[in-house]
Amino acid sequence: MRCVLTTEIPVSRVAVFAEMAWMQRRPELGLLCRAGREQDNRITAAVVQSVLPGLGDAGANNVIAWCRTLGLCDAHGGLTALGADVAESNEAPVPEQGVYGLWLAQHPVMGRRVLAVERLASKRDPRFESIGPLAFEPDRGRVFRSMLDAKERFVVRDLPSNHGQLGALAGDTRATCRLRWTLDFGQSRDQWQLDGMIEAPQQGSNAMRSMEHEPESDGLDLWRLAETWATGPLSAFGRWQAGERRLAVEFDDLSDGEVANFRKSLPLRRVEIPGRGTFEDVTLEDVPIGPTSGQEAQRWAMARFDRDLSDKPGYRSRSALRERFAELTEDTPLESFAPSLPSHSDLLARAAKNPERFWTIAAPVDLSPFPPASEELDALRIGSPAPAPVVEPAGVVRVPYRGGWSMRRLVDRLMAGVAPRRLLLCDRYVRGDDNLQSLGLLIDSVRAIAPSVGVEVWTGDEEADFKKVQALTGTSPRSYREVFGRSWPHDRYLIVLPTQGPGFGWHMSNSPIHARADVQDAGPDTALRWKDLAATRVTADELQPALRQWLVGSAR
Amino acid sequence: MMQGPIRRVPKHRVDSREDALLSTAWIEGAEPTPPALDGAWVTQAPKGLQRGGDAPVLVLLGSGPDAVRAELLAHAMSGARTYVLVGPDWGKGRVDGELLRAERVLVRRIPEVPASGVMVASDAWVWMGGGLALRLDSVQREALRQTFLRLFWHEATEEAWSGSREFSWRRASERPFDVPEVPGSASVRWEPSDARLEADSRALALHVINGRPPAKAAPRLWFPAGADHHDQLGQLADAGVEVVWSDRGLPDIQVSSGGGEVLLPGTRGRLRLRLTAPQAQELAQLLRAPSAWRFSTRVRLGDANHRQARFWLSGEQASRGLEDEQHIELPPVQASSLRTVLETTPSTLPPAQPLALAVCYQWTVLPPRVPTGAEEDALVRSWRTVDEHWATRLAKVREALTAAEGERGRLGGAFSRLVSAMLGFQRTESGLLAQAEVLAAQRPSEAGPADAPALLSHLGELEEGARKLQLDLEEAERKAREDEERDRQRDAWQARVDTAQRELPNRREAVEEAEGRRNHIAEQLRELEEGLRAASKEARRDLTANQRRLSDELTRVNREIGRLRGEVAAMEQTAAEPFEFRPAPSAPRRSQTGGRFVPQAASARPQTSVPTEALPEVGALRRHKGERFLVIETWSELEAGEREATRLSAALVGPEDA
Repeated sequence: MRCVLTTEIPVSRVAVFAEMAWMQRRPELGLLCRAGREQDNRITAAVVQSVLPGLGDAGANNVIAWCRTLGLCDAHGGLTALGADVAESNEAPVPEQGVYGLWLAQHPVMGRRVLAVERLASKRDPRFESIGPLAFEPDRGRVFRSMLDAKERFVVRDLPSNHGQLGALAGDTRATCRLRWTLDFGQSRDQWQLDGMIEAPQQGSNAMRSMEHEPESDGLDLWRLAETWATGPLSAFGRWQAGERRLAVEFDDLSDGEVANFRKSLPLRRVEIPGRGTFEDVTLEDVPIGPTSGQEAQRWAMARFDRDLSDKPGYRSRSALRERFAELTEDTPLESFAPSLPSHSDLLARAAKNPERFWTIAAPVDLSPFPPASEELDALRIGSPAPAPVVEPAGVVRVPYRGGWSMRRLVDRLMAGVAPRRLLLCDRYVRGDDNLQSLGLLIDSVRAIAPSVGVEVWTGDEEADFKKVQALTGTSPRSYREVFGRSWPHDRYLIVLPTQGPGFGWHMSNSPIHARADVQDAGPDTALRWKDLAATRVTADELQPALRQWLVGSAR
Repeated sequence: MMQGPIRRVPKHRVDSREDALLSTAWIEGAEPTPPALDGAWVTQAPKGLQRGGDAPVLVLLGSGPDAVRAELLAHAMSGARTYVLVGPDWGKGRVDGELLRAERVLVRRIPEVPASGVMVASDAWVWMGGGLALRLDSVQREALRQTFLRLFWHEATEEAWSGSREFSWRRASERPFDVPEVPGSASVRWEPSDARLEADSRALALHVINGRPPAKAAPRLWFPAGADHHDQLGQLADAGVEVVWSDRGLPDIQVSSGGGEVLLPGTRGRLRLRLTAPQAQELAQLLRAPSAWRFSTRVRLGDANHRQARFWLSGEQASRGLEDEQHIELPPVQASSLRTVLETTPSTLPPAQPLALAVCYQWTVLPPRVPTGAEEDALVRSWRTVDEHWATRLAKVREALTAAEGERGRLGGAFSRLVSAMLGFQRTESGLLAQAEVLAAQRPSEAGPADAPALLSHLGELEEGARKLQLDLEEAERKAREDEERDRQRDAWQARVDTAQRELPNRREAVEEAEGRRNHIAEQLRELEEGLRAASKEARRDLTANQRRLSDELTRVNREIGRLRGEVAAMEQTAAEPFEFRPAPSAPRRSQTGGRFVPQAASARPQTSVPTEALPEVGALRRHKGERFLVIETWSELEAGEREATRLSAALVGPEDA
């Protein structure tokens, strides 16, 4: 969530008698201030003598008095902000008096600033009656950086006057100045910057130049600011949920992009930042949004699901639909409302008017080599464990959605009581830290049964880190391109070569390494977070040639 | 003996082949009616399948019978989710409107549909060809479903669905999962196109539709009748296997007492169905039925029951029946001589086609012919030269005599004094012409080398007579002309003398008169010259002019006197001149061709060489590449031709176009 606040700031130009100081390179003062910064931010005689060895106490006190005169330290030698600046920049103020032309601007965000300064010649000026009161006094003792030349820095030390009545000769100016203040709530960072045009007297009486200004930060607490806006400008759009830092909005008001991204841009006519003023016509972008109720969340989830099916048309198995629905809702604002994927028959009914959608859902179920369990065809409620199948046919292992299985439990079922000698995981997506962590769990679980089992991995080589995989398995993985050519398998396979008996394979609808551990240092017995996984045992004859050859070759 | 012109001679010969044996042959009889099958497993009229509940319907829509389409439509129109696999060309033409109107039909194209079949939840039929449908048991049904899934998800190239005006084909979407390979032990399995029936020693009957015959076969083997594999089939037949065939559209089938299998045909793959014992028993009925074709070895052609049969022999494109008599046209045969034309036969005779009961060979004998490009023999040219020379000389003689006759008439008219001489010339000329006519009726080549020199000598004498006649005529004319010239010269001389004598006195007087005039003028001139000397200047001028005039006149008179004196002298000479005959100069020689008024007869007897051989009595003598040929045109010249050819050392041949 972020927004950009802008406002125009008027600029005035005056000629005034002032005591100024220009920051000039003074390494010895920089050294002194750094020495003071390291000694409790104080410039003492000892500090001076440490920098200037051999200097007597009187001399050291004179140096401190001069530093105080320059404003580098206070009466007690405490380092001022200016002194800290000198320590950083090696530039120290060099005072002078005279008549100066000043461009002044003020705003609560930036204070009373001198945008630029011009030395004016001292001469007799007959316009004595034209001197009027100064509109506002610039901050004194603060180092300003010229908007005309970023290298020029100066300090207004004093504005001498008679009887405290500041007077100045007002001048004409065509300078413009705008404040742009960017509030990035997600990054908890604000940044403001001035831009505009200003006279450049050195380049001619009418010359104008763009302002040069390095961005500065105000240090606002943005989320607290959001809370203040919740009851104000945001209330027209929804209900701000401070805990979730998102706006609960009505689903009907959302565009497709907002449904997909859970972000919304809000046009705010006027906002107020306490102590910093008000700003008009603000667009609050990428505001996190979420549903207002479970019913709304269900509609939202189905909208995302339908959109996904439209964007990526194609046949999808029931398990793929369930997995995709979970991906579209889990870790989103919808998850907490536990939306449900309708049952297979309900999905078909929803797609009755859309033949393409209908067939992409119906055909994979009607023409599945491993018919889905009836529980799999039922509705899927996100966040809740799916029911385990009542009847599980022989040779089939089903891990229900969020069934809480450990990797060890799955491996025990897959090994079916045999001790594996060699194991091959054929999975296109063995990549990413989470998957590799689960691969480690799988290997640990298998080695808990057969410590000397050899584990191999065949995977796609795009984005894969074979070295990491090899570090887990002990063998170099082989790429799909190498072993399958162009006929890549769609599903995942776990091929088991037992120490005794014929080898076999598990034809899986999902990969075991897609299970996630919600705890640190998970082990084989840790309950994992699963999506649906159905594994069907197949014989060597039923495997595709490359896998069959691996089984045959490994058995020799 | 042959008559007429010499031409090529057609010949023929007939051999019987009733006892010829065919080593192997397919023999076709009448096509028997195949048995009607309507069993529980194999039938020609399957009952409609009952769909159970919400179960989908799976259809393999091969190029099978309409019954499959009827089943498809029945289920599709009932609203069942119907999945159909079709071939790559299905739907590219007109599409069944009923199917388009069906609510739930998903069609996928695959490169080849291995069979036609329908599967519902509890029932499945596969059409195996020949209008027969095979009902599958539950195991087979599940295996067929697995095969269907494999084809549907792994082999599909395009897909479309019903519910609109037409099928909108699009590329088949990716499969949502892998379908396991169908194991080799499955009762229904799609196998490579080179799959064959598994050998089964217990097989009772075997029906094979392509490939090679099995090395060992069941007691009854159905194998397509054709041109191939006769050796193997012959070995099987000799071993007691009954090899038969009727094309009933069936696939490869093997049945035994305990089961069997069916292997459907296909170009990309073949669907194998392993049969249960009940299925095999029902199919066995079909394979026990009589057939149209039977394969046999050592078949005798002349057997009576083969008269109406058709045979398919090894290596032949099609079957065919027996042929009563085969006519074989053989290439022409060259006879060695004209005499042996009738006895000439081909050196070898090709074998008859194996199904001919008799064979008739036909060929043509070519008589020996003069080679193309043969030229006239030198003997003929020599005799022609002699004959031409003879004719030329004779023509000249006759021409000279004819010209002499004309000349004689002219001389008779011109010179009357020669009339009597001309009568003598006429008699000589007539005699010579009569001799020329006699010689013109003969030719030296006909006379031959013996008589030709006499003829030529006679001609030489005739030429000599004509030449003499010509010379006599010329001499007579010359003498007549000379006499005429003398008379003419004498008359001219006499006329000149007479004229001179008559004119001479006149001329002499003229001379005297001119001399008088000259003297007078001379006198006047002398007087003038004297007067000139004494004359005055004015008178002198006149006298001078007069002197010049007289002087010119004197000169003219002197010339006249000179001319007159010459004329007098000439006349006096003419009058005194004697007569003298001067022969007329001879006429200039004319050109050779038209100079003489009588054609020049040969002055010397020409030398004509007469060949030593006579021309042949028959035929034409030709020569080619140093060899002499005597060409005769008709068979009647054969005897004389052979004789003359021997004499002339020539080969006796027919004409070039014989």
